[in-house]
Amino acid sequence: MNDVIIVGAGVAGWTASLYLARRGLKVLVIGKDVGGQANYTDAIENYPGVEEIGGLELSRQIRKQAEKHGVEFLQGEVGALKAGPNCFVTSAYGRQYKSAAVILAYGKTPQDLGIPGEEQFKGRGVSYCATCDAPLFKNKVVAVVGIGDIAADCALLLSKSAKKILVLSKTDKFVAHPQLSKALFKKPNVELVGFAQVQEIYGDQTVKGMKLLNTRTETVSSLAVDGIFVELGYVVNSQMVANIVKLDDRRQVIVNADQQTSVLGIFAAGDCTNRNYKQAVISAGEAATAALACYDWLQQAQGAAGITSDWTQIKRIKN
Amino acid sequence: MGGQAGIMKSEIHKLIIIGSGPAGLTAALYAARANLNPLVIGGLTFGGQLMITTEVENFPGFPKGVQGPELMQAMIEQAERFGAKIIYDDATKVDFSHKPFKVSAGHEDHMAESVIIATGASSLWLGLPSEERLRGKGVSSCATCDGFFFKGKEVAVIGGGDAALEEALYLTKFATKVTVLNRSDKLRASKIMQDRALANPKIGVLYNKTVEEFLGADYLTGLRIKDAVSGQTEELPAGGTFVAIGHKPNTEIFKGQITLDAKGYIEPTDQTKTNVAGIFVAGDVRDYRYRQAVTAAGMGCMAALDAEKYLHMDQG
Repeated sequence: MNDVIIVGAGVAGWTASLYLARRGLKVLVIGKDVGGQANYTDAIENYPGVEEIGGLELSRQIRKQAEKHGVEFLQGEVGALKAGPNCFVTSAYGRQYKSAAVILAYGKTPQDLGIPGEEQFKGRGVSYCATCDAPLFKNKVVAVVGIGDIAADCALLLSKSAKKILVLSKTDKFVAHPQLSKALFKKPNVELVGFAQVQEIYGDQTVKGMKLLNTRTETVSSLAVDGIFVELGYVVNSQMVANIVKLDDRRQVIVNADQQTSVLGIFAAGDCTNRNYKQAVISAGEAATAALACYDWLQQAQGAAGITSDWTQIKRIKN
Repeated sequence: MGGQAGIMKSEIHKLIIIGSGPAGLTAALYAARANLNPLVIGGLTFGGQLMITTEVENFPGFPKGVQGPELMQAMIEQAERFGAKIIYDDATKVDFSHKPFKVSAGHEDHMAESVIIATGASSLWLGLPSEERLRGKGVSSCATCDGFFFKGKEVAVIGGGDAALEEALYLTKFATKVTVLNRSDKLRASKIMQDRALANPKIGVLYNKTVEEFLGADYLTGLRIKDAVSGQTEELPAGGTFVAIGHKPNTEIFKGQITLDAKGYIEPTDQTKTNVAGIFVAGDVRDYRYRQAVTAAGMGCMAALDAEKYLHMDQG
């Protein structure tokens, strides 16, 4: 049995694991991919002490740091989290993993389009991260399906390498910050496709095109593209914990100042929490707090001493 | 202008940050990137507690570890690169009774529409010259930060409160033997902590002992301790010593200006807000529990974002 299972392998997950492992606990990190949200940023220049670092690189560095202290990693998607007798049971890909405590750090994930073909071609022409995938579409024709500044940013980035960028809009206009819009449509390889709603993505091994509904004439046509970038913002996918911890109306995990959730022994940190700001350094700070609070709770639950330095008169985590 | 004749600066800053540890400098970085042109009153001894920490192993993103002063230098350069201005004077007086807020430092009075307090906390030390000399060379005040380096060594903990015993218990994970030096015949720590500590076979408590000197040329080798009853001195070998006689928040100048708790810490009302609108707080000056560089940095970031929001709202 593990002392702590951490769900998520981004900045928050690895930071929490680092702090717990340094306290001598047995820690398993389960994550779909290494990196999480930070992967969607190619250059972070506001992480303190680091002049500039790629989002994925930052997670990799923290992972390296954590693994030096014996943290184990399991690549997998967590299906469910249940409270068992005296432990928590996390299932991933049909297997079950037990731990005395859990830290949720699964971040937020890109919003899907939810149309036929999308799932099938994820990673085979359908992308949610221009920063990560733009180089794969050099001299190719791509479509950007999305809204606002994030879609404009994505298209601008793609315009540096792709042959043609088709920016889709359900109306005759594309709405984003005026400066961004202006910069975007000045690019000779960027084109607006108005009154277009994507209905289906098709292809063979990879994406070949998509079916579009013309929102004005209500006719359907095909548009050949090599890639589709989806920029609809992000959602917190809390399905696997919805029955166990309290979520807010945006399905973010509700935490207190000690990063405790509504269930004793389950903590949360990073983008999946209801804290209003989402920044790598905040995720890291929350994760350190979650780890130390978790350590404290475990120690007390096992009848040992928790962290008491300087806070004897301060309210303790109540069982 | 108050009693002291400081030179009143006519410029009203959007934001003044008091303190230049991880909380203050992260706040400065974020505020500068948001075009708030923050003024950082960094203090004569800038950089906060990491300046007296040799190797930082737990700041996320540095798998090879990083020297405390090196990390702080990087944060200073980063904040300055985006336009933060740092002055190396101590803030000696503040006036938060009306806006613009006033912060006196050196011979000048600085004015601002908002202030982030990030003055941190200081470890209490015994005050011996040999202690000062060997700080970071075997003498530490933070087991969580440095305990790991004492794997396989015999160490000593000075102090008899809960904090000291907690440090001692934590150190048993790494050290072969932990000697707690208590200056009286009774430990101050709670009974439950005492029971736990005394039950640990690696922990031994010596009573009525005061430390006369930290021994070692370049690195700590032991302590000369004196028995308060017999008056006799002896040498105790120690590869590391943790001074755990407490911390105090650096809040002297804020007394009467904002609400402090019984121990002098600033208690935020909501996230990083204080009871005075426009005054925010981040880092160890509000956190007696976790006290980590990265938790301070995270709070500094939040304070900057909260201040930015406040300034937007305040100016319509």
